[in-house]
Amino acid sequence: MTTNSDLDQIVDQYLNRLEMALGDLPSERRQQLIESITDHISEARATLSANSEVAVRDILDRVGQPADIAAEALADQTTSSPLRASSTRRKVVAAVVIIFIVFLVFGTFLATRINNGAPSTTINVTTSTVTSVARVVPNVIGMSLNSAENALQQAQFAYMIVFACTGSRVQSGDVAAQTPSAGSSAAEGTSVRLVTPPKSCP
Amino acid sequence: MSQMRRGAIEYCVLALLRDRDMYGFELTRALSTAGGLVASEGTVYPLLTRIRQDGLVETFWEPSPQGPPRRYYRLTNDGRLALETFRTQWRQFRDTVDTIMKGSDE
Repeated sequence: MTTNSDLDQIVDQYLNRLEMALGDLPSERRQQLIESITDHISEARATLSANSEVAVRDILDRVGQPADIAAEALADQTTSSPLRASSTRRKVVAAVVIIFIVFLVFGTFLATRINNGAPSTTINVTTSTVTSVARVVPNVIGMSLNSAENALQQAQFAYMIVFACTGSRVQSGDVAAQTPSAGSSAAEGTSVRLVTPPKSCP
Repeated sequence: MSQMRRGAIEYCVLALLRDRDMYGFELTRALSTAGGLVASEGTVYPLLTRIRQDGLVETFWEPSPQGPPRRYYRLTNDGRLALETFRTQWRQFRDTVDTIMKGSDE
């Protein structure tokens, strides 16, 4: 007799294999894919009248081999549409231009300083501000997932959703908790973890 | 053949979304039940991420009658346009291939 927790373990093992197979993907895309496929498996299990091992293995067979999914995801990475490729190229060009201008301004600045005979120890401070942009994490607690998604996208953050029961009274589909917390500062593109309760909590 | 199939699946997704919004599970189930189109249900998700990034579909969350909320996929105007263009091109392509194939049968 296989218990429900045995079945959960079979699913977890599968998701672990998938996560390893997706190792070559950028972490944000990997998270997104695993989240979608985790949801898919729970939806498929919810349609079963009896949660037997055979039925769960059949669901995983239909989802497919982790290697196949990884191959598909990597193929997508390389054959992104020309529109996206050109916009990436434009970003790279813009970045190069900005760096060039920064150096130019610095060169002039340094030259003046050296002429004045003053020490030039300020270089490190400014180069470090060019590399990563820190932003303030917005407060999305109590918002619906849709509004939270919009707010985070506007503030240039990525996000991932975790379904879990917390002590919070918010309904399923609304944000009960977030990390990093609201008001803290994080690098642009950081993935903010959003917790929302599943349909039924004890 | 596999390249052609990959290209066509993208538009099959757009076609399924033409009349109503669908969540990931029902969308991938519909494609896999159609037979001979996708290798497995899981391989559809990378494609969904891509057409979302390309702006052909957008997603939103909806509560589900049982279990956690669902991520739904909805066709954008760009997606609708891409679908219509593909339908026209596909018909021409299919007719031409059919005509030539019939010719070589005789």
